[in-house]
Amino acid sequence: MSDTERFDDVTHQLVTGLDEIQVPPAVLRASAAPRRSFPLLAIPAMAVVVVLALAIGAALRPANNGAAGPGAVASPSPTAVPSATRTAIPTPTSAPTTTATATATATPKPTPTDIRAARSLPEAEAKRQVESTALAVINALKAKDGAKLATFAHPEKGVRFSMYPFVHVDTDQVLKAADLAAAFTDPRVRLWGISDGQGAEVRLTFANYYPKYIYDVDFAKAPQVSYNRAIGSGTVPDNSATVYPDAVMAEFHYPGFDPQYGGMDWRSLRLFFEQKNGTWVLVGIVHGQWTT
Amino acid sequence: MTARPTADTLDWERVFDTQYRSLYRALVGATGRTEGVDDAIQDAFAEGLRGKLPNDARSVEGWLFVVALNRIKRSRRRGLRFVPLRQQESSADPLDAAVTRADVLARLATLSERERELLVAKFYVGLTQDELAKALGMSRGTVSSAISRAAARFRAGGTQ
Repeated sequence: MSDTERFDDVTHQLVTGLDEIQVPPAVLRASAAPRRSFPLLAIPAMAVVVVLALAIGAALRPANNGAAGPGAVASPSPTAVPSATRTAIPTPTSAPTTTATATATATPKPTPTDIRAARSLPEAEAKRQVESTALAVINALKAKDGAKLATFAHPEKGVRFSMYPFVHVDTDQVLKAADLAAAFTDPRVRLWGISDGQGAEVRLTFANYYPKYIYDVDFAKAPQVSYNRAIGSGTVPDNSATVYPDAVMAEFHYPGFDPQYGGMDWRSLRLFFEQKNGTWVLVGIVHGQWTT
Repeated sequence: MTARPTADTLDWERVFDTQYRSLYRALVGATGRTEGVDDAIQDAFAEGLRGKLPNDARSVEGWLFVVALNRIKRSRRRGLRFVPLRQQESSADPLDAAVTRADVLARLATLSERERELLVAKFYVGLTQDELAKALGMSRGTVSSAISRAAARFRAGGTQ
């Protein structure tokens, strides 16, 4: 067996074993502010400096009262140095145990880590799951921040762009994270689909597709936002529940702009998120508007 | 974990969301402990938020791992005592997963601290040998031979 094969075996075993470690839920608590521990450590240090300065000052001062001298200064007792960590757990422990914990009795199979059939989640739960991510994606779209957008893309599937609520799985453009990161400056002309009504091929760069079939209105300020509940509807059927059964749908919707059209000039942008390793990632962006 | 080039506008919350689990597992594997791991990861992200991420960092995740690992080691040197990993195990795990995990952790535990760090950093986190040499204060040649020895001992169940 070659070194490469041996190393591959080690990698496989480590990944298989370590990925089974249960990870407690966590949120980012850290901030850019200085560590709280700094002033705690600085206090005794400053005290020592002050006392030493006083001692030196007293030693150098003329003996006008006969009491000056090293012996006249109380020595500091800097023994109590506060701990700078939050991790101290004074639990007496035995040596690390390395024996298998497989003595645990057989337990029911766990539910998968990633939520599946997410499109069936009730709206409130769907909102709770993806709202923050959906808003972040909308803001990235609004800012034309391809690099940011790329961080939300499904790492393997990428993001499929659909001009209308009917998703063409075979022909809609799918952009991977690397493509998204450079999308706004990518000169490549892509065939995005066929325009409904005119029946013409829509061949555009991403930068030109974006203002027509992605962010044609300010969806970040959409008056209506729904989760797993379609708001906009027109003549184009919506097959997203079939195409994205494991995804939560977030819809940003404008019911209309010009009263004379009676709501037929509605706009929607639908974002579809699937869970990947416990994180909601973007798999689809579907534009919606009235078509004839 | 995959390498992700950094930028001044790095979305640390997003990195946290996507990398916390892998970092946690890597640090548990490298240290054999769970206590203090979350705090160490939080401190590593705090360093990142304060702009400490080097511009030439090849992998944000690799850098976070090294910072957090050093944080744990410093805490240990200060005499802090941790709860052994076994006390953190979940009895709700399926049997096969528990066996796999326990076997890997048990074999890692037979290695020296340095060997554990090398193996996890190299094969789980994906650090290069140059990055390992810099992070662990070793020469590149020493890293190479130490990895080979550690890998052999790990595969043999630590009996070599």
